[in-house]
Amino acid sequence: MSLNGRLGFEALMRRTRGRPRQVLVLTRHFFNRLFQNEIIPFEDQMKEKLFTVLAVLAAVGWVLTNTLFSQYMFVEDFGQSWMEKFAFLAVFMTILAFAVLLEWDVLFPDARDHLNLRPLPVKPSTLFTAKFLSFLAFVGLFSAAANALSVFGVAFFLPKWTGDSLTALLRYMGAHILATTAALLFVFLFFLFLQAALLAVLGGRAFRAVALTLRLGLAVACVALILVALVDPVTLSKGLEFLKARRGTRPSSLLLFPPMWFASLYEVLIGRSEALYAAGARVGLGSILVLGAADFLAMSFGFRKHIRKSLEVRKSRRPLSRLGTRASGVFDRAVLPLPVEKAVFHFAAKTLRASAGHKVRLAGYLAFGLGLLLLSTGTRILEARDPSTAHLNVLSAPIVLGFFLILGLRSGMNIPFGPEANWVFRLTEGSDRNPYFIAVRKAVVFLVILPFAALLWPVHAWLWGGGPAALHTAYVLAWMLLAGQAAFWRFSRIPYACLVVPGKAKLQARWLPYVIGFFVAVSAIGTLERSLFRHPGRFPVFFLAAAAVLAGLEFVQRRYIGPKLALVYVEEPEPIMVTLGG
Amino acid sequence: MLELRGITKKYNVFPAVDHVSFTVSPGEVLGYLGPNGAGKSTTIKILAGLLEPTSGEVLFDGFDVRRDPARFKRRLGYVPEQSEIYPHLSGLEYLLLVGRLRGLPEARLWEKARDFLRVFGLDGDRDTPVGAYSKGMRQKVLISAALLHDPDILLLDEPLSGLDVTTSMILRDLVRRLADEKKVIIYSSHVLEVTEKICTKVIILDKGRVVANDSVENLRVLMHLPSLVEIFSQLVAQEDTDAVARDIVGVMGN
Repeated sequence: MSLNGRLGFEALMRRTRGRPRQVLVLTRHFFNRLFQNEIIPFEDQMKEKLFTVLAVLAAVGWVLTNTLFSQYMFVEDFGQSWMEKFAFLAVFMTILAFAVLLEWDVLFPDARDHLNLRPLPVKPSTLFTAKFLSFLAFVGLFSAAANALSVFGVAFFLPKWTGDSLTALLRYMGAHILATTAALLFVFLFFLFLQAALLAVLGGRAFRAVALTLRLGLAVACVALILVALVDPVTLSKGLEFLKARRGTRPSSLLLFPPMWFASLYEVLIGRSEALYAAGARVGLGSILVLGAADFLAMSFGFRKHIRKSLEVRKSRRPLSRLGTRASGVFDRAVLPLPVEKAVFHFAAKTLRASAGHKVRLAGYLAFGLGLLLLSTGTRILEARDPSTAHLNVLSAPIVLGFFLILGLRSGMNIPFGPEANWVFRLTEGSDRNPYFIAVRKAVVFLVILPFAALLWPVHAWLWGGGPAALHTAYVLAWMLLAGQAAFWRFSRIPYACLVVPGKAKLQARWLPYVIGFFVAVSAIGTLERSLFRHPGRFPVFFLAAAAVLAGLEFVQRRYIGPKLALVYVEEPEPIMVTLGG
Repeated sequence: MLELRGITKKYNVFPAVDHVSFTVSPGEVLGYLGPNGAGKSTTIKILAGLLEPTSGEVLFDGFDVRRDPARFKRRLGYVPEQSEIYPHLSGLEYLLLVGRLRGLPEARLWEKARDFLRVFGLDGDRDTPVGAYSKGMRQKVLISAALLHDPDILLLDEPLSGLDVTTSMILRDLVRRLADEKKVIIYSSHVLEVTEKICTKVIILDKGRVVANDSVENLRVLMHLPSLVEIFSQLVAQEDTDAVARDIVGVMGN
């Protein structure tokens, strides 16, 4: 920079009191915080993870473009490709929605931000400008990944039907990038508005409860939709048929779906002039402007309230009622006779209850299970009136869900809560480790398996009547208890208290045999249950056998495995290269 | 009696603690002193079983604690330098967690936990998550957790951190009383005035090595110095503190 230039810059800094620099520094800080969490605390691994995610997004874009648009190699696009554009945009809008739900906690500056930044001479408007810019950068990055390969796919399949000129090609590519970016921006602004509105309307405790429930529900819906869109071509083509039929009968009703707004924008940008597209594009762009302004207002007005909510201490929780205390005491005496068992069990239960991150993780696994369930069973669950004739997938549906629930719990238990605080377990470790492991298995049974089974019975009683539902629930319970034993076989950590180094190389290397094994097992379990329902007298034999196996496994864990296992407080990193035999 | 023999802890090749040896008998309060980075907390963490020494051994009543760490830890109470407590647990829940991990009977544990919170003035906040506690309140919970099982050995690493004047004075008297009950107490601190009053002997550590190991009285006589502050300055702080202060003021004015 020349001397004059530097003097000019310094004068500008003085006039604006260094605001542009503050905005720049804070934008970078907030952008980085979007990718930092307790699970991946190391910057290098965080970057590696980010690049992997971006590469996966680019690959999804490529696969989706090929699936949706490759037909236009041979079939002329008379304008019917709006449906595929709708589907493409819908999938990426859903993926971004899921990503934003994961980033929910850092959408607004949190207590740590306030504690560090409020004492500094940083204006609230600077803080929010930087926050907003970091979001734009996030959406931009996401859009770049989504478009990186898909734009070439689109350029290959579509422009040739509107003329082979370079202008047509560039116009298509530009329209693809702009429509995708606008759609993604809409999703982001929508979620920002949702949070700002909830913050403005609700009190601290209600906000936390509502936000978490909403977040979990939406995350489940997003994962299920993404799975259906990416894995199930039948459902996808049914969806496209639905759009086509709507276009024929009630075209304006299509504007109820936000992806249609941006598919319309896409069509307008490539030069199609139908009134529906013009209207859709107007709604899409208008919604971005309205949401942008609403976000700005909500963030400005909600700022003080938000600071208060962020900085105010969480006051007393309601203590247990007398009845609750008595019930808890009875439970402890009956189920957790040893003090260490009580300690580990209640620590696991309280952590699962208090940690939004762990709940969201569990919900992610549940969402994956639900997505698989939607793919495999769909509405067959409602059609099945008799378990002895029910489709195999209907019978094994709860097993699938339960399995993912147990897997989610195990995966979450590996991730520490307050990693610095685990010294208390190390300091108090006794010479007999069995009670620690027993408590973990009891936590799995009482926190997840039994509540799940309790929810299962009424649903199936409504479908099949009380008797068959009870048998089905008991059958599922038996398999879940076995799955719980298997998933926590030789599990040697205190839940949520082990420092973990990320990198699941083994799982990455072995996922295929695991998946094949899982589907074979689920199918076999369903077949066995159907045959048991055809010969109900054999149920007791199965339950006796299951009980014997469970008792045997528990005996082996307590007698031979538990005494030899050492508690692990810091997980060693896995080797970079792991083979199937490794 | 607690005995450390040639304890060394190296990070890569650099020794944080270098051949440290000392003994503490029941009823003694050992002041463990040194500047920042001298190796005080490292030694305390080795004693608490949170760090493995590179070499050397810790003996308690003649047995090597590495042979049965759980037996040693059962008799140990530890107040860490940094108050890292699970923030989602309330003060009461935290004490219940620690008490259960230490195997205390349930009824006695509840009674003790409530009593500790009451005597430390935390009764009204016993159901508030620790994340919302002030530093002093957390310190009180940590002290309660360290005393909950009536330990024979007490490791106090900067125990006054964040405490108000009254609680600090209570802690000072408490340490004396615990010494009267023949507890082994190691008291690591930067507050030399307090250390001088409550410790029966002191160890001064500098760059991982023991540079003094005697009673305050003997050190005074040996070094012909009137107070522990001056003994410490003589042995450790080789910088001209006034000159450094002048430098800081100079840097501020630049």
